[in-house]
Amino acid sequence: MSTPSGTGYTVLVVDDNPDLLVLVAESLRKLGRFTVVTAQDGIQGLERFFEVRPDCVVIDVKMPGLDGYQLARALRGDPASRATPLVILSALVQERDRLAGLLSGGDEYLVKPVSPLDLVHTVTRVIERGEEERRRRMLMLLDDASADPGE
Amino acid sequence: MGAPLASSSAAASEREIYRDYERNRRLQLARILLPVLALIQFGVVLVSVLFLLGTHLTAMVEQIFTFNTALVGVDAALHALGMRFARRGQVTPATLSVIIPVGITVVVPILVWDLAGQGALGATNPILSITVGEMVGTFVLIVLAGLLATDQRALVATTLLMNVFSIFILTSALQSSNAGNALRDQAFLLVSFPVFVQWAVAGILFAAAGTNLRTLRELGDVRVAYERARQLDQLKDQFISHVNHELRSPVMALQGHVELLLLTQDTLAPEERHAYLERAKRAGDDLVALVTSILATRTIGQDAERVALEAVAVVEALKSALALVDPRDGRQVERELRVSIPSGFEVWAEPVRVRQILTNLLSNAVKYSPPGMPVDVSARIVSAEPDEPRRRRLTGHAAPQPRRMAEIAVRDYGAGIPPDQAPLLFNRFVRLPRDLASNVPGNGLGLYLCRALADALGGSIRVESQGIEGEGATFYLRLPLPPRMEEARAGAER
Repeated sequence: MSTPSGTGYTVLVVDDNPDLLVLVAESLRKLGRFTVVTAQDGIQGLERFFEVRPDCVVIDVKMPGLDGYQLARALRGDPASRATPLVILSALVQERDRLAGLLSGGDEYLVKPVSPLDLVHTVTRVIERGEEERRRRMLMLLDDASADPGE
Repeated sequence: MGAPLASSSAAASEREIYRDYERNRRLQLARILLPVLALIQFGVVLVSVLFLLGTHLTAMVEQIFTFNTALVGVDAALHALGMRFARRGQVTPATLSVIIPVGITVVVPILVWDLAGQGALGATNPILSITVGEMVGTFVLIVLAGLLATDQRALVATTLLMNVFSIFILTSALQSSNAGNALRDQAFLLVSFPVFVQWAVAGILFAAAGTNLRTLRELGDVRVAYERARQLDQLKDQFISHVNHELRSPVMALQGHVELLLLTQDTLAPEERHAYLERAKRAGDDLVALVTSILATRTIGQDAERVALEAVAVVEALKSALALVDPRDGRQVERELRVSIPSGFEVWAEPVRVRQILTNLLSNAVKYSPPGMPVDVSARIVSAEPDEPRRRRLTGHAAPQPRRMAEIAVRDYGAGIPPDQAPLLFNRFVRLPRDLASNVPGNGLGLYLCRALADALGGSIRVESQGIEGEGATFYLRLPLPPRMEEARAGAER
C-alpha cells in the first residue's frame, strides 16, 4: 500500500488552521519532496484518506467535527488504514494529552511549535519504520507514558 | 424567559460562597452547643428529680436547689425565646426544641410542689440560695446566649428579658410566702442584686462575644479569601493552559514560515517568498492581538479611574466599531447588518470604550453564527432598574439614581448560549465548552472586557438566550443617557 509517488511518498495533512495547513504542506513538499494532500477537518480527512491512500497522515488535534483523536481512532479501526503511520500535531503539552494521542493510535506526538525540518524528519522516519518496529516502539512509548503520567 | 442576569455573576458567586460559609459556621456552632445545652438541662432535670425524691440531701440544700432548678429552667426557655425574637434564625429550631420542653418539664412540677407549701420559698433563709442560684443560672445561660448571639442587641434584649423575669419571680415570692414576709426589709437588695449581676455578666459578654464574633468573622473572611484565591488559581491554571494552547499555533506559523523561507529561499519565486512573509506577518499580528487583550484585562481596572464622559452618538460608534471587526471573524462572508437606532440617539460615555464594547459584541455575533446570517443592532431607552449600577467608580460617590438608561441590543442568529452557561461567559478567560472544542478563535477575554468597560461607564451588560440553534443570543448593553436627554425626558413627564 505504500506507493511512492514522484520523488517521495504521499502525505495527507489534516488541520483546520489554514496558515498552519499551508505551512505543514509546504514544508513537506519543499523540504521532503513529498506529494501532499490537504484536508480542513476530520471528516474531509477521512474522505481524502480513502481517495489517495497516503503513506502517512499528519493530524492536528483540535478540529471541529471529528477531532484529531477521533480521526486517528477511525483510521486505526479500519483494516485498510490500520497500518498507515500517523503523526499527531498538537498544542496540548500535558503528559495526559500525549498519552491520549498515542492511545488513539498516533505513531508520533509532536507538540507545536514544530520546526519544518523536524516535521519532515519525523514523517520520513515513521514512513520508513518497519511494521515490527512500529509495534515495538508503540508499546515502549505507551509504557513510558503510562509509567509517568506527569500529574 | 431570559437567561439570568449575567453581569453580576462574579459578585453573586462570592456572596454564595460567603453565605455557604456562614451557614456552615452556624451549623458547626449549633452542633457544639446543642449537646452542651442538652447536657446542662439533663443535669438539671436529674438533680431536680433526685431532690424531689428527697432522699439524699438535707431539707435546706434541697430547697436551695429546687428553687434554682426552677430558675434555670425558666431562664433557659426565656433566653431561647428572647434570642429567637432578638435575632431571627440565630437560635435554631433544634436548640429551642431542647430548651423549651426541658424548661417546662423542670418548672411545672416544681411550681406544683411549691404551691403545695413545701417548696424552696418556705426556706428559712433563701437569700443566699436565690442570689447564688440566680447568678449561676444567669451566667451559664448568658454565656450560651452570648455564643449564639451574633450581635450585641440580642444580648441586650435577652438580658432585659432576664431582668423582668427575675424581678417578677422574686417580687411575687416575697409577697406570697412566710419566708418572704420575713425578708421584706431586704427586698430591694434581694430584687436588684440579680439584675446587677445580670448586667455585669452581660457587660463582660459584650466584650467576650464581640471578640468571639470578630474572630469568627475574620476567620470567615480568611476562608472566603482562600476560596476566592483557590478559584482564581483554578481560573489562572485554565488560562495558562489555554493561552499556552492559543500561543502555540501562531508561534509555529510565524517561526515555521520564516524557517522555511530561510531554508528554501533560493528556490522560491518572489511571489512565493512574499506569501510566506505575508503568512508569517499574519501569525505575528495574531500574537500581538492575543497579548494585547491579555494586557488589556490587567490595566482595565486602572483605566476605569480615568474616564472622561461625553455624549456619544451610537450610530457613529457602531460605524467605527464595524470597521474594527476582523474580517476573518466573519469568515470573509458578506452578511446583513440590520440596524434600528433612532436618529440622534446618544449615550453618556467615552467614545473609545463604547466602540471597544461594540466591536467585541459584533465580532462575537459574526464569529458564533453561521456565515451569511444577519446581525441585528437596535437601541432604545428603558427605565433604569432599581439596582442599576451607578457611576460610583467615576465620581468616587454614588451619582443620583438615573431614571432612564440607553439600551443597545446586539443579536445574532447562531447556536445561542445554554442558559446555565450564560452567567459564566462574562468571567475572565471563560469560553463555552462547545467553543473550546471548535475552531472558532477566541481567548475568553472579550466579554470580560465588555463587562468591565460597561461597569466603568456606569452601565451594565447581560445576555439573553435560550440556547436554541438558530435563535442565537442577544447581548444588552445598558449605558447612561446624556444629562440633557435624561432631563428632557424627565421634564416631558411632568
